[in-house]
Amino acid sequence: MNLNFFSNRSPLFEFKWYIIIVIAVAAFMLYHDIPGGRMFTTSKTQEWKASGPGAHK
Amino acid sequence: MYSSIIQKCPDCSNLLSFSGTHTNIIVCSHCFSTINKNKDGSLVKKPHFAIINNKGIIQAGTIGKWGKKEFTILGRFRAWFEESVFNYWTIAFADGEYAWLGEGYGIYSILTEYPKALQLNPSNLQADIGSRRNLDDTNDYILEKKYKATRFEVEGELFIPDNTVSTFRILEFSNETGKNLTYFEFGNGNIHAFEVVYMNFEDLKLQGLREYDNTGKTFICNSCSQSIHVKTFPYAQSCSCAACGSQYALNEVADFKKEKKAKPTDVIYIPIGSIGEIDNTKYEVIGYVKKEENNIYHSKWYEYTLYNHQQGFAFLSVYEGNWIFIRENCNSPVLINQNEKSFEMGNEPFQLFNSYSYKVLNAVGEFPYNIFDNEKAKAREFISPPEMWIQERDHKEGITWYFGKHISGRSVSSAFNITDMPPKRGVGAIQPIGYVNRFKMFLAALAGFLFLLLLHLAVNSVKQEKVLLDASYDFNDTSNFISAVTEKYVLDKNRSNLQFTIYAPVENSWMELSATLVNAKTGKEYSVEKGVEYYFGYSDGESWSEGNKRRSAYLKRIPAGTYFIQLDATRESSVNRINNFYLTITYDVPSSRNLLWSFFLIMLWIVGKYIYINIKEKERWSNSPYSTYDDE
Repeated sequence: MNLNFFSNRSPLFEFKWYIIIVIAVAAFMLYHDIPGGRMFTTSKTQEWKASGPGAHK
Repeated sequence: MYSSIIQKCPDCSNLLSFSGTHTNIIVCSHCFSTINKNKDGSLVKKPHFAIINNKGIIQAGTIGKWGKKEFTILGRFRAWFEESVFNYWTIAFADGEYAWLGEGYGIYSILTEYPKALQLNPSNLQADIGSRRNLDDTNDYILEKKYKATRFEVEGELFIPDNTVSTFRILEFSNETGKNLTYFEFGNGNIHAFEVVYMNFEDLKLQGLREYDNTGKTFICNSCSQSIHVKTFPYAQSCSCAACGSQYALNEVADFKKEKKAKPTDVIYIPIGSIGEIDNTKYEVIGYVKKEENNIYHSKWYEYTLYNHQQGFAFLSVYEGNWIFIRENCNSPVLINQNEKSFEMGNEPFQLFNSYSYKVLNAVGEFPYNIFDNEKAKAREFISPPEMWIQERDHKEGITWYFGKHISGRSVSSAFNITDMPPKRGVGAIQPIGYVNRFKMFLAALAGFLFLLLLHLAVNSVKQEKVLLDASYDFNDTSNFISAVTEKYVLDKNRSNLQFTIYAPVENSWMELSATLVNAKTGKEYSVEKGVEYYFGYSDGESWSEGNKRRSAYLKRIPAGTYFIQLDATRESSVNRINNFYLTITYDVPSSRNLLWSFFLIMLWIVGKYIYINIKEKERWSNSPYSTYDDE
């Protein structure tokens, strides 16, 4: 099976953008999962350090 | 291996070399007489026509391969049928076996005698096109073509089952398994069956080819006296005068006879004589024709006839700016039931898209077969974008299949170096739109979900979910405020989160918790606030409630370090105020929210794609009388 999904001979050709989207979404999910983040939250965490207040998501 | 037999030409006494005992006609290389070898080995001059001009690239002495078997080409007979010519080259294999190589119009085949075939009698040869019969132990065969060869010409050394005749008949049968049988009748019930295997030019690995040398045919237009040169004659058997539009078709004596006159006024986007490359093959544009459907739609489309001396003829068909590249293909579907609306070929389903008969409105250039007498032919188009099979069925000419594939306007423009192209409208019959069937979409969604789930589980399987604090706090009677500081905790992961789960027995009341995580070394603080409220009551006889007694809050992406937590809780100062609340602080927790959002994001593509495909497919099938989409 031709796994190069950008080649129109590959059976995966019609899914080329879907595969890229799934990989991108997976990467986005890992970006949040690994350091304990949460996707698309509206609440912000107040952060304070000696140089002054701030916030991070 | 075959051994030569040397004999003398009965006409000029030049030496003739027969390669073996199987061949029975030879053209003398000295006097060009055609000599028959009788069964007793004696030679007699026979008035077959010898091929002098219009030679293709294959010649006696060319070698090739069929599978693993090497062969040498000895010679051919070129048969003239009602609207076509076809070559049958005698080939000798190294093991002493003989066969024919069928060649013409870019179609190549190997024909080997098939003694297992049912022996037909002359009355069987009157069968109608499309009739079925059993010819061997496999499936039923369909009669697809019937031809009569009115004469034939010879070149080199060849075998023909009856070398005394000058005409013969052919019946071509095919079955659903892709097997093809051709019966040749040489008169007096002398009927021979051949199994036919079709292949591409490249598969034959031919060597020792000659330069393409075809002088064509030139004649004078009856209407305007201009000279008309048919460069691919005898394969092109119809043409049109470029000057006045008079249309000509070849008659029985190989002269072009005028059919009618129709001067074209169309814009011919690809000029006759243009050369362009498609699928790594250089084609010359030799003809242009405008056709119209014979039905209520009167749809008009245009076809450009292309020619390459190896690949034969091809066509570029354009309708409303949508292009299809088409070639005749004998490895084609076989429809036992001629009214079928779908079939499967190469594991792809093809659906009936259109069926029509057509007429030629006008034409320029030259064309294979006679394109001016096809008004009774019925064409049916079956699509599986970006591919198409076209069946043309005529009671005289039989069933012919063409295979088409989508080609973009940009590719055509670039191949022939043209800038002015017909404007594109709508979705072409086989224009690819990234169609994916529902089952495949479902499988793709499932695969995506499983992939994300497994990734999520893998990452979260190493989450500590360590409970740092699980305590209850009581409010003083005299105060609505609690402040507390926890012990120190070591958060050891590079970055992670803290979950604060608050349970407060509020009823028509509220409380709020503010938590500040303080790094004991650096003093850096991270804080979060969360309110808990729950209200309920009765209104118009129905109970209602709002809020939740249990809420969660998070501190995210907290770097490693030693921390303590400052807690400040406030309650409502009313009669419904609570006395206590419970707090659980957990470190390094998984977030199923991330997985659900990820599912949602990939579903956006799935749903968006589904909607897009539906819109585009509806547009495609709006051009078809076989559409299953409701008209709005």
